[in-house]
Amino acid sequence: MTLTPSEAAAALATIEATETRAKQLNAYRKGSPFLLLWGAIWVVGFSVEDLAPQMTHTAWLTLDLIGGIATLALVALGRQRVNERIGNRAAQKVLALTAISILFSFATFMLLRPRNPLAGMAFAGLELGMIYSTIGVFVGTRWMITGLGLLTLTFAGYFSLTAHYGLWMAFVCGGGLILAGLWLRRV
Amino acid sequence: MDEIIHQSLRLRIMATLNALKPGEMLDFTRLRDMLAATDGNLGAHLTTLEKAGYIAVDKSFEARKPRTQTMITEQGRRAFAAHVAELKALLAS
Repeated sequence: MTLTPSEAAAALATIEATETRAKQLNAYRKGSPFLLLWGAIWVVGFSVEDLAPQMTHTAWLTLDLIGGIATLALVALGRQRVNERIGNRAAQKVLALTAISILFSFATFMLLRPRNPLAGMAFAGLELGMIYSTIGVFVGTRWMITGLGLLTLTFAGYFSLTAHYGLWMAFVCGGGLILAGLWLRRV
Repeated sequence: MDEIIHQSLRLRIMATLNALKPGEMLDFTRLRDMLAATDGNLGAHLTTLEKAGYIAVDKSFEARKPRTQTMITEQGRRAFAAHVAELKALLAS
């Protein structure tokens, strides 16, 4: 079998395009469960914060604990599907990102001390939106759209709603994360 | 030039599976959707690649539903890399 240089070039271009798309879709699919998980947690947590504010701290403490354990379980499940060395690296990245996010939240709250509960709610949306947008720079457009969408919705609700911002964060932003998680699974 | 790999859909199958991490498997239906192929066409080409030793196909049941997954083998990775090298050499000559 002999090929011309142009046929070889076309084949190489096909290979590169196919590999790039495959890596991107694979990365999207791996991220999907985390969006679904935290979207569901936000639906519950922000709903409680809006409807039963006296239970806010207990609810978020419990939900964050559940979310943290579930995140570790998802990471462990992902490790089982690939060889251990690569799975460990991926797990380390997820855990590092989570730890950095928690530290950043803590440090920001200590410094800026949000003046009202709504700002505290908005901060969660802004931080997560920033993280996803940044991930999108390196991994793919869908993450960036998810992050920017979250930022936009967080701001839109904060500056336009006079009441029940928590329910906005729960169903618009939390629901948005769930929809984004489903979108990431699609080819 | 590896004629088994170079066929259009098989080339894309190999490129898709080569993009996965070692040991990582891909569902048949997902591979089909990614490549916009039909079940029959994809199945036939996977059989060809499996016979050549370039991929491994695993058939199992999940909640009583048949599930087919596939992954590239080490032999497949080497053959694919060699094929890419030949293409690049052809381009450079």
